[in-house]
Amino acid sequence: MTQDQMRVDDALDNDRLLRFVDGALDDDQRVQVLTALSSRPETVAKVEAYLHQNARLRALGQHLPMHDSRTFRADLQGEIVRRLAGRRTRATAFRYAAAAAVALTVLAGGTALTLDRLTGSGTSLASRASSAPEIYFPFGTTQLAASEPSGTAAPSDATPTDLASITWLAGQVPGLSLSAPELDGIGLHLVRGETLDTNRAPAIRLIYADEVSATGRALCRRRPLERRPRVPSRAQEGHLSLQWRRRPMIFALVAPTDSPQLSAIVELVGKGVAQAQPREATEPAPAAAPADGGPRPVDRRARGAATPRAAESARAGRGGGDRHDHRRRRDHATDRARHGQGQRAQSRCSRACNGRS
Amino acid sequence: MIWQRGDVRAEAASQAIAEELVVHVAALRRYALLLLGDSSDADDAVQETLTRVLARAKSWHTIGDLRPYLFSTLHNVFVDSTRREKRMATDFLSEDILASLVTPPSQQQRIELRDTVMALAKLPNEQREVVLLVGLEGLSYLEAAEALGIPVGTVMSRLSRGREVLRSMTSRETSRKLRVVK
Repeated sequence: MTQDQMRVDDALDNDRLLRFVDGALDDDQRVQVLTALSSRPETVAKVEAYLHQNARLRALGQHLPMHDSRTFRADLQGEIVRRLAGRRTRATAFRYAAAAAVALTVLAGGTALTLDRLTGSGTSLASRASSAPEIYFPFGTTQLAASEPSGTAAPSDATPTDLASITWLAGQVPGLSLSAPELDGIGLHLVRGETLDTNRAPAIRLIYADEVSATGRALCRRRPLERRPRVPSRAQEGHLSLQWRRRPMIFALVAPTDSPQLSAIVELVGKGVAQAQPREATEPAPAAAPADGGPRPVDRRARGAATPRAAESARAGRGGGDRHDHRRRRDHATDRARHGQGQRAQSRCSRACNGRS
Repeated sequence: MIWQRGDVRAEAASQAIAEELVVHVAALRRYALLLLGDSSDADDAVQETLTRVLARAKSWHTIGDLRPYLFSTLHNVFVDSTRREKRMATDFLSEDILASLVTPPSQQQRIELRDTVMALAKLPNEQREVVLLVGLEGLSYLEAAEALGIPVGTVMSRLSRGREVLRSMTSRETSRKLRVVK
């Protein structure tokens, strides 16, 4: 081997080529590599392929929807505060919830809410501080009633059902154990509950009030079949919007950021959410009617569909109708594979699913 | 009032965290999506990552460079979830990623992107991580090593193998297309 060949081999060793592709060489080294490449056309093809890969990856990154996902921001907000509240003591959770509030307020609304506004240096603080804390649990409200511009849903039946509404909702979701958030300790009492019979998913609304009768609302709904439910993250100025996704339910909270009870509210609601544990469902429970004769929901399961959307799809003779069905198909295939039926079962399943769609 | 009760340093640190995190969330989501191949799982992983980082905010000053630190935390979240859920190769939803492309690329570009995603899906996790961190996110080898908790040499060997696999896949695709044209 000649000295020139050795020099070329040294210049084109694998590490150096990688550094060349990733721009990690200084000018002298780049020149050495370029010179050496002129005598190695096969290596040139390799380098070109690597450069092309990088360009493709960057192009892929540019086309991904990373900057405008309100659902993600809302979820992020709720998840972080919930987890922080669960991990820390109350005092610590309070501080970190505040940190998360700042971080996620910026996430949710860009720079709409600044720290100055959070601290309430403006005149709006006085009006907010004078009113009692207000609590909303706007669980998926746009899906409940899109006609309501404020994002709150109209109950299908105005009859107050108090805690019976929770029983009703639990009856809608097989194996769900659900209870109202215990807010009595911070001066917020459950006044009544309402069932919301919607065309998407069963939901309830709870009305809370404090000593001066300032009311708050709690809404809870079953998570729809879509993997990423479009739950609004809007919160009025000076409020923090939180969400909890706990399959198969969605919970959320909007609370004023200047409330002295913010951490307590977050903590208590987080505990309430943690109690909403779905047990292992063996068989779908029949739809239960509210004890006080409230609206009896349509028993969709009797037709073999969990939701009106699924029922509609079933009637139309198709597997689901949108791209989110892909995950169900995949789960189906995965489950079969895990049960030892192997790749043939997966492909059979895949063919069946594809056939349905 | 929470901010009036809290101490000034905590407030300043919180604001700094907020500003820093906002810058990196998009990159974290992008990386998580291509790593996990599922938008829901990716969002969950990023949420967990940010939660962990915020929970350690007390020692914020000890974090030299936030970017590798965030990717490192995300890597740990990914490893934990992979271990916990015994993630299978079929869990990588290439179609899910392709369906979520925002700016509709040209037909040719779309084919290229699809090939890239499909090829990424076939890479082993450790190679995919390195390829994405260096090729997509533009981390230096040192930063990637820091993020993944491995030596720089390991980063380079994984990168080399990953790129070779990608190259062989894409060249196979090209030759197959050429045969079809004939």
